[in-house]
Amino acid sequence: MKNTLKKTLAILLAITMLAVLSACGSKNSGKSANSTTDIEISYWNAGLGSKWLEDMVEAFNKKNTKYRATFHASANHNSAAATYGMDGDTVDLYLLLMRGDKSKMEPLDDVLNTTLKGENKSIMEKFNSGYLSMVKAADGHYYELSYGGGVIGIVYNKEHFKKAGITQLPRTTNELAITCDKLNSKGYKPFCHFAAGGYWPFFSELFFSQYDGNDYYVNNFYACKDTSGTSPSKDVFTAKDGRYQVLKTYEKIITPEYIMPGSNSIDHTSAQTQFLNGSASMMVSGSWLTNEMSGSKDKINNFAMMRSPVISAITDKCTAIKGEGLLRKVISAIDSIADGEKKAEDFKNGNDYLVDGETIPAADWELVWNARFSVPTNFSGHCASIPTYSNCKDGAKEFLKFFYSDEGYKIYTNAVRAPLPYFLSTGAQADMDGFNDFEKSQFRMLAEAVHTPTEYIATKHRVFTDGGASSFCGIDYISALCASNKDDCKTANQLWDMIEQKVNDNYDTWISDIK
Amino acid sequence: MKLLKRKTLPEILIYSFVSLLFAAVAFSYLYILFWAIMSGAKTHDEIVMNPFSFPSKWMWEHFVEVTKVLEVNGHNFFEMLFNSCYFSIVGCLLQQFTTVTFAYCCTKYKFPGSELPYVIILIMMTLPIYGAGGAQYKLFRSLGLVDSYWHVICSAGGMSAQFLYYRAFFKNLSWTYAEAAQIDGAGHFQIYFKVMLPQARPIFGALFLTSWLASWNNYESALLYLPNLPTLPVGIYQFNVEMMYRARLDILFAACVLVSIPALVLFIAFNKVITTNVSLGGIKG
Repeated sequence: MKNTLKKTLAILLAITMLAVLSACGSKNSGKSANSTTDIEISYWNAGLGSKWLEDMVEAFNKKNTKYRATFHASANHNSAAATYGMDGDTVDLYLLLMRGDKSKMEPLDDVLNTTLKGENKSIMEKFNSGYLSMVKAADGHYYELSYGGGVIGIVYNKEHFKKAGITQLPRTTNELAITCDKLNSKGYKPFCHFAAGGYWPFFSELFFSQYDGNDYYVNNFYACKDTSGTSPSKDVFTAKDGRYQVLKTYEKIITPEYIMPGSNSIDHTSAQTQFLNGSASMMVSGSWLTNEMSGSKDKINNFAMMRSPVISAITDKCTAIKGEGLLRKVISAIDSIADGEKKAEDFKNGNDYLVDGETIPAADWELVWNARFSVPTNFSGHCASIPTYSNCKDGAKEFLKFFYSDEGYKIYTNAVRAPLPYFLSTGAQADMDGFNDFEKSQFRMLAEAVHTPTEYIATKHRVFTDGGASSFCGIDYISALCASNKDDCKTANQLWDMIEQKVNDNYDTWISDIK
Repeated sequence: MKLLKRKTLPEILIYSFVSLLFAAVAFSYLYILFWAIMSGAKTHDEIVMNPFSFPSKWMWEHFVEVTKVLEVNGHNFFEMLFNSCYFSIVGCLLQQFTTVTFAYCCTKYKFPGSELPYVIILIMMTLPIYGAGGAQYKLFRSLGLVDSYWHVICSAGGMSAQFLYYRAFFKNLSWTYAEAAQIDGAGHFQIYFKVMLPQARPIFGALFLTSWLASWNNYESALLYLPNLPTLPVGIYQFNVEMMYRARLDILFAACVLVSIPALVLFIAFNKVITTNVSLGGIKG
């Protein structure tokens, strides 16, 4: 008996030892850290779902015999990015938010310059120019490429608009305020958003760039360069530029009367659910709506995204368009051209344009045109990058080329029903059979886009990426404009004073925090 | 038969108040459970728009849909269920067995340093996870125990806080049993496996159940050490994170209910064992 026990114990100990030893040195989930043929993808699954990537990986693996792609997704950005730049990182392709530091990223210029078999344009030629300008780094190279092509805009409830007798979608921000008033008088809450201002801040970037022009927005403000060329410059933050006009504009729209109660505290999907269930008539949302709210597909048919209104204060920058009435007429003329109802020649008058008997100088026309077709997005900041230390860089590049191919375009749009940052090489639109109005409007808006203002800009000065500066200096101005407690409500002027104060208090720290 | 003493009015009032208070507390716990079940049977829109109303239609199919929808990095519901069962059952059995054996040796055999584990465990208990977590992760990773089914071996340390329970138990357990067995010719292993360990069965069972419950519900360790072998709580955690970008609260609640069933059943069946058996000894008066 004693011997049997000893033998049993010995066998048990031997098995345990074997187990421990065999566990030593095992690889993570079968992925070989040094493989030059296995492409490991880490994907931040935010709003677009992971079905498209599943389909993309499957199609790539079927077509490609040399490389094999796998991916892991996380809705938490920090989890998806956790291994980036760390020792022992085995990820070959990251699909994350744009990063400030490009030092560990492989240049992707060769990917962009590739013309794929069977296509007549290079990937760069197929790319949306607005998106491309946002991801071009200061040294002229491309280290990150956008993989999401969605847009942000004002989504509206068609039924509410009809019942409120609104037949003309707002063309300017003043007209948007009138629309809010009409909806409010019919008992509809005009807007809802979610905590910390929802997606309004992306609209702030839009109005800011509309007012000051995309060139100032990208090459001065976000380059932290003042008009005399000094960079970094504190004056960039204290200049009463388009940001002040944004606050003045919001003062008329984002009011406690026009915003659904509770908007400042509810979460993103709850706000969207309430919106789709008719609690408010408009919401700043984006291409993710269909995918995120797939359980409410039938309701989404009642919604569409409108062209973004032009900030009414743009007339400050025009030489001839001085009144709101004329501005609306010019926008109507521009829309009629974009909708194919009229041609630009119909309005041409020498070098200028003629709208309703008024002469519009080409510069004014261009300013309003660019403003009308500036489409805000956060998707240009959803970027693919390959770490310099990847052992399968070529494989990852092959995967990216497949993604940016016409075949990849079809796989993505079928799964997500949202546009991409590039177009088909044939110039054709995506096959939108079965797409609803909301989904179709995304494609139209992106095809029209002249600029895609966003805070994700590769050339952004490091006072923003390292120092922590931002256009509105981290002040939750949206919540402050529509706080239900009147004592907490702030005016545009009060908010601007807060911004100036914040700049004066923090500018030196922002600069000293630059790595 | 002794007559019950009639209660005075203040006593009745106090008893009634206390009973009502307890009933309210019990109701609040049970209501959460009911609310979760009810939410699992509603649509996402109903949960957001009318969180406390009854569903317009009880959609029990959500509880089946969970098995299709709940997926983490390609691992489906059943794979996660297997991982949960494997790591919680095998891990807890290993943990209990090594701890009880270690505690027995340190308590019943006097050798230099036999009291040391007790001191070390007390020190370890005061160390916050942040103090040891980094080194522990590095060690497990170096040993190849991260993302591996062999990670279960990490449970077999014997140095858990439960050592203290077993130590107290064996301290109170008379060595007379061992002496009697020795007279009958039993060796050390026989004494342990045939005489002493069977007496520790109640406390072993109770501590196994409590550690199993903790292990079944634990998602932090699994999230950290088993990212590609997700357990059900990890699946729910990930799904909850996805709720930032996905409107399926119905599935989330249905999943929470499904995952809590085994723990609920075990607690209902063994609540007395769990709450009373940790103090039982072997010598009857």
